[in-house]
Parts: sequence; structure tokens; C-alpha cells
Amino acid sequence: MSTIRTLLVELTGTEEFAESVGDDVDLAASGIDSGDLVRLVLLVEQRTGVEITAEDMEHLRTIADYERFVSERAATTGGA
Amino acid sequence: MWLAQLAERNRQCFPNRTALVDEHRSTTWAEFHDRTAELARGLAELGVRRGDRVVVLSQDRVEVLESYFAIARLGALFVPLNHSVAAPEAAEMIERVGAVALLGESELLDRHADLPSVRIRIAFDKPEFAALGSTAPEVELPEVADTDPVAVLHTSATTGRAKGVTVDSGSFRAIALGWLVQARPTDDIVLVNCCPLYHGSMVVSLTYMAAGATLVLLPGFTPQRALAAVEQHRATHMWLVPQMLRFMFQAKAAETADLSSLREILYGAAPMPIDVYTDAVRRLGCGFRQVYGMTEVGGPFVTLGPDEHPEPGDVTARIPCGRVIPGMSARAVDKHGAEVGRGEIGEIVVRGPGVMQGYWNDPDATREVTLDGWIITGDLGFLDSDGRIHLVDRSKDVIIRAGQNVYPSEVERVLLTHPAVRDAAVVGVADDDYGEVPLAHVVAEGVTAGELLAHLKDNLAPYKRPRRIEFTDAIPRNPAGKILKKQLRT
Repeated sequence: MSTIRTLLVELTGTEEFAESVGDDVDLAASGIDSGDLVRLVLLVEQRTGVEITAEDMEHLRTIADYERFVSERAATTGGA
Repeated sequence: MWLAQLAERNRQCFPNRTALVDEHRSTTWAEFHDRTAELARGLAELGVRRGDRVVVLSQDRVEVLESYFAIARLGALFVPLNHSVAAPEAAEMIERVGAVALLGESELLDRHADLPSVRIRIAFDKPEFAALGSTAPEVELPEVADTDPVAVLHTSATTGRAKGVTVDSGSFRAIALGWLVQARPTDDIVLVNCCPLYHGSMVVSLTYMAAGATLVLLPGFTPQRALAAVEQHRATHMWLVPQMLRFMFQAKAAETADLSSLREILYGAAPMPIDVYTDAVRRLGCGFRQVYGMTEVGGPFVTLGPDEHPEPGDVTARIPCGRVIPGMSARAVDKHGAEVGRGEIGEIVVRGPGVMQGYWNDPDATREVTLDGWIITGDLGFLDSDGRIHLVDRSKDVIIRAGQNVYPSEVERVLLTHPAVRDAAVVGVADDDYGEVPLAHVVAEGVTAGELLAHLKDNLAPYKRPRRIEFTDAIPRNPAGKILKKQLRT
């Protein structure tokens, strides 16, 4: 399971949501609570060490967006 | 009409100052005044009349407040809806108020194609909204009296279906004037509004607009947006719920954000956990103002100013809600409606010119929350010797264990004093022996249930201690930050 999906399992407490939502589905429109989306961003920051700015968030809508963002940042910083 | 007067006065006094700013645009007081008049004429040209209901379905943006003011200028009623509710629920609310028009963001409007009462739809993000009213004839807008309803605001629905609260122009005036006297906001304030404009908390925003403040609107709260907004606009004030502060300080951006412009944090909708307060005071070094309000009483009617907040670090401190604003009255009463003595717990009731006209088309529900002209808040609390209201709990949430009252907020407060606990909610569950016993839902790391029960044992009377601790990833809360206890009981 990808990093973001693992975090979604942690957030929602069930694998059902993380497994059912497609890579390119807009998470905000997928039925996830808006508070969970806030927590997802915080968890990504905590677990990967990558900072997400307000501007970055404009481009983070789907699981694929998050995965791409984290891997790109990890590549440029050599971390994560 | 209060909202029209507010816009006129601020155009007169601060024509070129920024009134509102969002992520796309900003508007001065002169522009805001003129645009709301133009929109009102445009809506009138489309057939919107006094008494009509116009639903606004949008994330927070400048056009939302422009629409509210324009609709009210017509003597029509603006009806903001929570855009995150499921489509059938929103459709039911739209039909319940019999809305003739729907304004909002096209993505949200498109979710509601089939609404029999709605004959006008205009999307904020389409050219027709920008053009609305620009060619409308100069018509005399109707006189709107203080007693005329101008809004239907929906409750946050922590216990069931959201109810529509009918608010008149005089309510907005009364709350704003009382707040201006008590909290004394100044016209140099730049307020980052983290709370949605679709429910009663929007009255706080209207009140700061009345002071001539600049409002910074976010299209939904995220810690990163809020922090960036403070930095970018050198904000002096923020309006948020306590959980948002906790999230803000967890964000990496908080480590580097320049928040030195902040003078005051306004918080409400849920109690402020002492650990969050202590952390926030230490990090921000600014004042804190509590806001206690309720949609049915017109919004914020009690406040506690920075001078009366406890010193940070005192984990035993209880922060009172504050004093009622001038013009409104509040007291604690017993089950017969008689006022109880100072320090005695009763149900908080409120009256004054801010209170609602009633629930929209629901006289039975209105009667249920009205007692001899007072609105029954459903909150249990007491007044201290200095006239400050202290809340103890929601009356519906009190757990009656073998005839003894257990206030969940007290147990939650003790749980939150444990360093490993990040969040907690306590509900009553049926019990064969005691009728009802407390059950604690806890968000925590690195602690066992046994350790938490031991911590409770050290701090609470036996009958108040939960039988069980359930660990969870998050406490369910509504967008206003209130715990959704109904979900925890199921």
C-alpha cells in the first residue's frame, strides 16, 4: 500500500476508504471529512519531513498528487 | 436597515480601506457599498422580492458577503448553507425554506439540479454574476425595518437535523452594538476569519465589519492557509475554534511563520483546552478573547476579554465564558424557570433584541426552546460573583449515573491534563447497574488505558470515572469544532 493510502487508513481507522478511492479522485469530493483532510496534510508533513505550504496545497487534490509531491520533494532534498 | 447603514457608514468613513480580501480579490468599503447596491438592483430586476429566500452555497469568499448584504437590502432573506452537507440534505433545506434563488460557486450549484422552488441560479465564478445589476435601472430599494427578517441561519446540528433560525435586522444591530461596547474592536483590525460564513458564527464577522475592520476570508480552514494569511496581511486578529489552533501549531509552517502582528485570538464554539491555550499564549504572546454564542440568540452574546484569561501553565484553571454583552440578558435557571443563586448550576437562558424570531416554519420547535420570552440554550452553567458565566456542560450531554450527574466536560478536561492525551470526548452509555455510565473516547499516543484510568482515579470522584477507555484516531467534530457526541454514542 502506498504511503498516502497507509496514512488514510490511519486517519479513517479503516482500510475501506483508502482502498476504494482511486488515485486520481479529488479527495475533497470523495466523502472524506474536511478535518481529516487537514490531518492528512499534517501527517504527511510529520511522517515524511516535507513541508507543505498553502500554495502547495492548491495542487494537492488526489492521492496521486500527494504521492508525486512527496517523491519530488524527497528527491530534491534527499530526505523523506 | 442595519447592514445597509453599516456599509454606508464605512464607505463614508473609510472609503479606500480594504473591507474584504480573499484568495482571488479584495474590495474597499466604497466598492463594497456600491457593489451590494448594484447586486440588490440586479436581484430585484430578476424578480427577487421582499420576503423571498435566497440560498447562498459557497466556500468563504468576498461574493458571499456581498450577496448577504445585497439580499438584505432588498428585504429578502439570505440563507447560507453548509456546502459540505450531502446533496439530499442540502436539497431538503433549500426546499424547506422555499428558496426562489440560488447563488454560489458553480461546482456546488451543479450538485442541485432539480429544485422545484428555485427559479434563479447564478454562479459567483461565472460572468453573469460579475455583470449582475450593472445594467439594472436605478430603483428605490425598499425600506427594511428592524423587525423585518433578513436571514435564515442554520444551526450546527450537533444533536440532529439542522434547524433554520429566522433572524431580523434588529438582531444583527443589537449584537453588533453590544459587542462594540464590550469588546471595543477598532477600525485598524485585520481579522483572519477561519470560521465558515454559513452559520451563526458569521455574526462575529459582521460585528467586526461594523467596527470598520478588514476581514480576510479563507476558502475553508487549513493551518497552512491560516498561517499564510496572517503573514501576508499582517493580521491583528484571528477568529477560530480551539481545535484549529492545535492544528496550526502542528503544521511545519508554524515553525517559521511570522505571527508577530497578532494582537488577539478570538475563539469559541467549543471549550479551550488548557494545554492548547498555554501553548498558544507562549508561542503568540497575544491576548485571547472567548466568544460564547448561539445562532438562536443572534450569535455572540457573551465574551471574556484578554485581561480575564488565566495565566498560562495553570492546568487546573477553568476559563469562564465571560459576561453578557450590553443589551442582552442571561441567567441560570432551575427546571421551573426560576433563577438560581450565584454559583449554583442551572440552565442558561437568554433574552434581548438579538434573539431569533423563531425557527423557520417550525412553531413547535420554537416553543420547545422558549420559556416566557427567554431562549433556552441547552447549556448548563452558573454565574460567579463577578457576573461571569461559566459553562459546565450541555444539558443533553449530562450523564446521570445512578442519580448522580456526571458532566462529560469535566472528565474530558481531566483526561486532557494527561500529557499523552491529544483529544478526548466522554459520552454516556447504557448500563444495567447504574442506568448510564461514562465512556471515554481518547486520542493519545504512548499511554495505556490502565494508565489513563489511574490518572482519572487521582483526579475524579469514583462515580465520574469512565468504565472504559476507547482509543481512536480522531474525535468526530462538526465544522464549528463541536464534538458530534451522537456519533460516539452509536
